[in-house]
Amino acid sequence: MNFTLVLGILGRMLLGYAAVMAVPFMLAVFCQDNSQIAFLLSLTFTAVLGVLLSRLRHSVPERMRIRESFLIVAGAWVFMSLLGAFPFWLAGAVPSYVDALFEAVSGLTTTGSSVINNVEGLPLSLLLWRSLTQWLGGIGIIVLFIILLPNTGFGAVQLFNAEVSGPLSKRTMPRIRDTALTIGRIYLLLTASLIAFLWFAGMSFFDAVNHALSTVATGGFSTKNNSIMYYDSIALELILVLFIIISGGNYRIYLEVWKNRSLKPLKNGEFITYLLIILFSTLFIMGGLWLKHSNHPEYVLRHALFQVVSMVTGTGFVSTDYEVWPPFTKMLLFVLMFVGGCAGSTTGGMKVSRLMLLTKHTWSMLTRGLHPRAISSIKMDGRAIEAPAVKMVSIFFFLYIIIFALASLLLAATGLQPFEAMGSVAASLSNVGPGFGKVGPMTTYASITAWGKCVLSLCMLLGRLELFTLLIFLRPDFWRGKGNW
Amino acid sequence: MNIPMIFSLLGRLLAVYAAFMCFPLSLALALGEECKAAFFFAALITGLPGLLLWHKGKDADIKFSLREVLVVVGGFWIITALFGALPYYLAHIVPTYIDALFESVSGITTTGATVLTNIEVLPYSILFWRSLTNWLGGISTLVLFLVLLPKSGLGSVLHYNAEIPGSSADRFMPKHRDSVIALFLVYLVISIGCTLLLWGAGMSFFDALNHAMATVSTGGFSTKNANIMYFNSITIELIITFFMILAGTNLALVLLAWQRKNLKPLQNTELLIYLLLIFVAAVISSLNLFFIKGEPLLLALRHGLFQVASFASTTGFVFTDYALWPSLGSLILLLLMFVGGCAGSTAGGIKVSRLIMLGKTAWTELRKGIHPKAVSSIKLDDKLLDEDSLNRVGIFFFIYIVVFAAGSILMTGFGLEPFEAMRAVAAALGNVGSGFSSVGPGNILASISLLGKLVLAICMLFGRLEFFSLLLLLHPDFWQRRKVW
Repeated sequence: MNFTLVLGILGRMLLGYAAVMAVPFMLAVFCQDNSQIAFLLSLTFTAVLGVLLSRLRHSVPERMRIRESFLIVAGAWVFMSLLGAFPFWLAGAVPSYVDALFEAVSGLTTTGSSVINNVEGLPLSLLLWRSLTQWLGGIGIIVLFIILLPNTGFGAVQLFNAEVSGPLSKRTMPRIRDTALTIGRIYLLLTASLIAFLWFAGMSFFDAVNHALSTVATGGFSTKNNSIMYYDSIALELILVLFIIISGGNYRIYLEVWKNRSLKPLKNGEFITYLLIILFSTLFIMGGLWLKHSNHPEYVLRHALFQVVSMVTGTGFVSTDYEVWPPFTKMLLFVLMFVGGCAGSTTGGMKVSRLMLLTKHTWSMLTRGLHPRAISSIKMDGRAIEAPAVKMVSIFFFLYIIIFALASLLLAATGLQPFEAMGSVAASLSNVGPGFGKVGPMTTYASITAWGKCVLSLCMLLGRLELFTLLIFLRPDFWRGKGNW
Repeated sequence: MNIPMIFSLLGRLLAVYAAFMCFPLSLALALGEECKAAFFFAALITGLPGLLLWHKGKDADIKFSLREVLVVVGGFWIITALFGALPYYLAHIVPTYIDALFESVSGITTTGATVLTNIEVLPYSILFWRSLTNWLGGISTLVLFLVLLPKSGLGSVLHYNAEIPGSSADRFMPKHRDSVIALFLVYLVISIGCTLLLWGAGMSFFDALNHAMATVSTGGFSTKNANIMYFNSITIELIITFFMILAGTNLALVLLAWQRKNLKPLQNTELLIYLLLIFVAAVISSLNLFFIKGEPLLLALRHGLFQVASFASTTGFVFTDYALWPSLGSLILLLLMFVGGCAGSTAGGIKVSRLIMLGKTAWTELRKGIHPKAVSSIKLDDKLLDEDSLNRVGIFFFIYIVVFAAGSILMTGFGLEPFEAMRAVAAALGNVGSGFSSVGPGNILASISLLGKLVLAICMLFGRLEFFSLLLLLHPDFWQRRKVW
């Protein structure tokens, strides 16, 4: 295991991270608020660490193997979380480092759960930092899973394998760098336009920027304690719904749309299923709400749509206190947390394409049960999926549920009620944000024990990195193996 | 489709079932109970059509294929459920036929959930019939084969049964009629042993017999409202705990150990993990009760062990009002309902062996991240598992969770709180029984709407049949007229 190589690359990453930290720092200086020192210290420490680590790398270019790449990915998220916690901690916005770490992890994994009870009392620079971590986390994930690990959902987990495309992508661009840049442009364009829309619809410029950063990453951090409920504005909610839905789509498709200047790639099986899921879930929730709120049809439609979209993409904005909603709607929202958005997006959850694949596979098994000698293959958008890919998706599903079960037990042991515990784990594993009960839409995660926060932070990371990327470290042969891998 | 043969087989089944109904009938006659008419007519209604169908199919070719097997297997369950409800309905102990159907399905699937609010006032013959359906349900697969094919060998049927993906019974079914009879004898011996021990421990003979039948089949019907709480005797609890755990194991292993006169067959991975799981869960639950709920240590241990054993074996006896259990314990019980017992036992759930297989597969899949093209084999107890089996297990797990999610959403639609709904559906799917917050007079199940009861009854059948047989009946190809199968 070539640790120097790994650390060297991480060092360079940290330098970039420090540069990003400079932005809220400048804001802090400009506003003369009391977090200036916190940011200065954090950014200096990060920069220094970055410089030291990047020196470790030898000038002779080395070959990076698959193992190093896993370590780099995991290391990136871990280092950035550990260091990203410093501004919160040093500025005294949270009681302990564990809380600060939770907030940072929640940001970078685009979860959006918070331990800070009075967000509105934070200095603007810290608010900006929160939203920035989400924005970074979002683009990081897209780059990671489209360029670096395009096959995680569908087969071997290999790094730098843009040549071997996944079932949903074709040869998009000849060069990895170009792809990354285009993704960046799309992401930036979405962010900028959302800022404009939100600002025009009534948010202050600062709020618009923060919410846009957080929305495009399907994160969910807000500058207000009551999230979107604070504004009580249909216009804002609709704008956000539109952009959240877009953010839940597959960036590979957006790359095609960009490159070919046509909307045809949107006619994609997964994308359509994703939209149908949103449609039907909204209708079901409307049905569930109707019995209690039939004299407020506008309430029913508006909040059903918003909450469905928010939960299924794992954004986690809250437009109303759904804790008082009937059990049927809460159960549906809970299940939606597991579903997730499209593969190749910033959303969490299992991803629509995986669930589609498993459903098709089930049907195929039944067919084969009736026609034992038939040869059938499963197709997604006209391309056949091989057996190893299917196996990996079944195992992903299995691991997701097992991790969910075990983590729920741990959280129940910290004192949460069963459904609360399950909700908090699902919200973390699927990077949603708010859960139910003690960690419901109107409260924060502040009351969870430190141990519970650690478990949930781990869940956030596991979910964000789609399980395998982190679980692989459990294998002893990862650390001590020989050969060319 | 070979209709005459299906008539012959199903007719035979009905006739045998009617014959079994004569047992409670004789009891009713002997005790002069009012419901003797109910049993008389029930037996008549079941038996006459049975004999008729048998007669009609008398000259049928013994030529069958997968389709016939499916119809017979599916038909077996539907028939026993529908006709088994007649005694309850005709004796007017339930308000509607749906309630009677629920009780019947609950009996024959060895679930053990009841819609009755006052069990102790019921006539003895009815109580006996309940426990009898449990007992018959437990050996249903054995009964199926013995009844259906008294003369020809079972090998060919098994060949077709094995085509049905996922059904665990087939892999553990003995290949010869003699072994089937031997297994039946083991079941009988254990039932008698349990009855005698319980009688000796202080139960009345009638109670002992009924509880033994319910225990050995991992069913869970009791003759008392307060379930096992009524007896309040450590001896009785320990006896039942022992037999519950035993009933959750693969009796074929017990048979093998007996035949070979050594303990080597018991060195089985699944058995070990099953026992280990019970031990660990019992310890944690007991400690949880001791520390959080403040129960005296001995009581906590009694409660913990019994309840865990009851749920792990999916029997469903209740020794304590576990609705009052603290959060961790409740969640443990919920998860145990999913795990279930050993494959090849009367227990329900996903089955320990499947989870072991999935775990091993997951471990191997992780390796693919390091060695993408490696081919690895997975073994369970020195038996190589082929790709196909592993695939089936993966899909089975997927279906189980999806049905659970859908069922839970439906049940919240009927008014249950999310966790209650999950418990109810998990208890139904896993054929556990006691998923509901209260037993006896406070029985929540009694007040659920008819549609809710129907949904749960369907879940019970799905769980018992392990989905595929029923799902295959839904596949359009099944009904196609094809010449060659």
